[in-house]
Amino acid sequence: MSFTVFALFAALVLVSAIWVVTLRNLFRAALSLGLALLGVAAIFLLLEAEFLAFVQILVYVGAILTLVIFAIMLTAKLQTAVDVPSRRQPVAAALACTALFAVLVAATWGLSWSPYPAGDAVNLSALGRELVETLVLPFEVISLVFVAAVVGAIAIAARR
Amino acid sequence: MNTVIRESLNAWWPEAWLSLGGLLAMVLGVWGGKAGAADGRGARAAAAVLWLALLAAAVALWRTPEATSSSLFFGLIVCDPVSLPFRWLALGAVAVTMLLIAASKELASAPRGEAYGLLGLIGVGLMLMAEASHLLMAYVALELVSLASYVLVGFLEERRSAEASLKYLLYGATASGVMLFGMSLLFGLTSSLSFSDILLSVDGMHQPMAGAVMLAVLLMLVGLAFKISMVPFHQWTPDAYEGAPVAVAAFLSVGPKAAGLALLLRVMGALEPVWPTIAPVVLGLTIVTMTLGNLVALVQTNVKRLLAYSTIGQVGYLLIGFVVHTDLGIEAMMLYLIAYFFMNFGAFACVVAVVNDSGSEALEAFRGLGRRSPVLALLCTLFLMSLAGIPPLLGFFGKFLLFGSAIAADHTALALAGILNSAIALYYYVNLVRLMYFVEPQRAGVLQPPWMLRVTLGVCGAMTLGLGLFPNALLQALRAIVSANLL
Repeated sequence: MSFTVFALFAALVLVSAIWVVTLRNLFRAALSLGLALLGVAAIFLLLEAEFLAFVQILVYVGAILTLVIFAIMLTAKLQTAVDVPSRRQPVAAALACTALFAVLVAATWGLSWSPYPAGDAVNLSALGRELVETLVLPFEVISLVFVAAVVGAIAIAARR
Repeated sequence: MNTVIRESLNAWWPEAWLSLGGLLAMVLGVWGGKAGAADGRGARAAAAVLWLALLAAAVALWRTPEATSSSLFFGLIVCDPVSLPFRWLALGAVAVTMLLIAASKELASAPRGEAYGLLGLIGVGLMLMAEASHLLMAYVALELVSLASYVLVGFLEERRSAEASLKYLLYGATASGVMLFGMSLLFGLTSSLSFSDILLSVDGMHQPMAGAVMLAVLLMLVGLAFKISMVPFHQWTPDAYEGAPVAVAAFLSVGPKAAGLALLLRVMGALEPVWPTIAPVVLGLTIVTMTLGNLVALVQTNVKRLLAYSTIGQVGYLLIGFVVHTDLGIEAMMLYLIAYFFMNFGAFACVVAVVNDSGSEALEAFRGLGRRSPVLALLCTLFLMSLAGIPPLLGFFGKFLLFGSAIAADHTALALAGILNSAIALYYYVNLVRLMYFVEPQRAGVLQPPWMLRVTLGVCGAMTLGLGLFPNALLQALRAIVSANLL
């Protein structure tokens, strides 16, 4: 039962991911991206990582995808553009991707993954405490990353 | 406050000061007028704040408690002796780049306050990369450096600058993605992100798990190889350097390279059992990296592209110290990094002076520099000869140690490749010297660089020559550091 559900969502993710890279209309590609992200959130739910699924929807579908769509709509040229990226090496790219995929499958096939000692890792208050105790340094450094990204983007955009 | 955090902060003041300075510089940069009023109060206040922060960081680093190998912040970073030279290099790179930015005419209308702020934050990222002992920390530090670098590359109000920035971003995002995939694979196999735990569980792993670990390591190497411009992930380098302001290109050619090599040392330290299997790959790529960089540099006509390919060649030399995998090799690599810091920043400072004067980045702009500005031309020759590895300069001594460590570790082919490459590289470095001394100048008049450049050139020149003549103290300090390494 749960495998069927997983297969359904995995197929959804795969198909929409293929659309993202093959659709020639950028707007539709962005919407397919949203579909793929939702599918990933559903898989997280299946794995009983409710919080991660919630964050996935909130951040990726809610914020990032909205930004992408806004960017496409605000740049009028892109909105109507159909034949966007140059497709000079589709065969080479497909071959390289297939080869990489084959190597990945060959290397990971038949491994026995040891389950991570989860315990109450999904417990929200424990997660919050981790962020201000053991993981406080990366948490703070990520805020530096965000400041750098936002200020930098504005500094460049404000002059053009 | 938690005692662990308080104790960790004690060893981490330099980074804390620098991040505070970077943030404050951004705030002050907006003060006193619109963005674009570059020499306004804002930019000057931002520069002053970042200089103060750098000073505070340097004092804190100098007075840092006798470097312990104990891990800080719950095992996320280690401020051990090995991280020390890399932290100094990061601080130095920020300081020199600030001088270069202030001296660049091409950045006259750019929001310099923001540039200083971003630079400070990159400095924190560089230091963290050299200290990371946890994959999460390593990744966050790498992204801090990368994201701010993408922005700085696009700081010129030109089409090619934006293009370079975008190219750099796309390449970087792909490399990051591949690296993250490798990290996730490694996490799945070892159930841990901390370097010491990874070492424990990788040790004694058998097939097929060992094969999967190999793959994970190779994928992670992609991200690191991108950062240090190692072939085949070097293509972004010439394009990004060409579009970037000269000062930023100078920074990118030194800062992230040093920190990337430090992180490479740390990651491979955690994956020691895998090293024998991937050593041949890294060895081959090292030889290809230096050969390709030096050969392509021969046909360049733009000085920034020339120095970009020269960087790739130099990274190849630096990797020798990594590949030989001995204490002697690491020692030689650190010494050559210090040499590279001074000679490469010096060479780029000369480029800033020439670009300020002529507005052109063609090699032709160097014509007749010997007549127009004898001191500048002499210093420029000094840096180029040091990059080429001519005695008695520091670059020669570093190369000598690197090739010596390769021979001592029975990697004669590696040493031979390095020597051959030095011969090839001599051609394009000497060509630039020929243009300066034996060709008629294109423009008349004396070229007088601003004081910021004179300071940079003076310090870099004194170090390249002085440390080259008397390298013993430096060598002894590095030897003590490497032998104290408890990784």
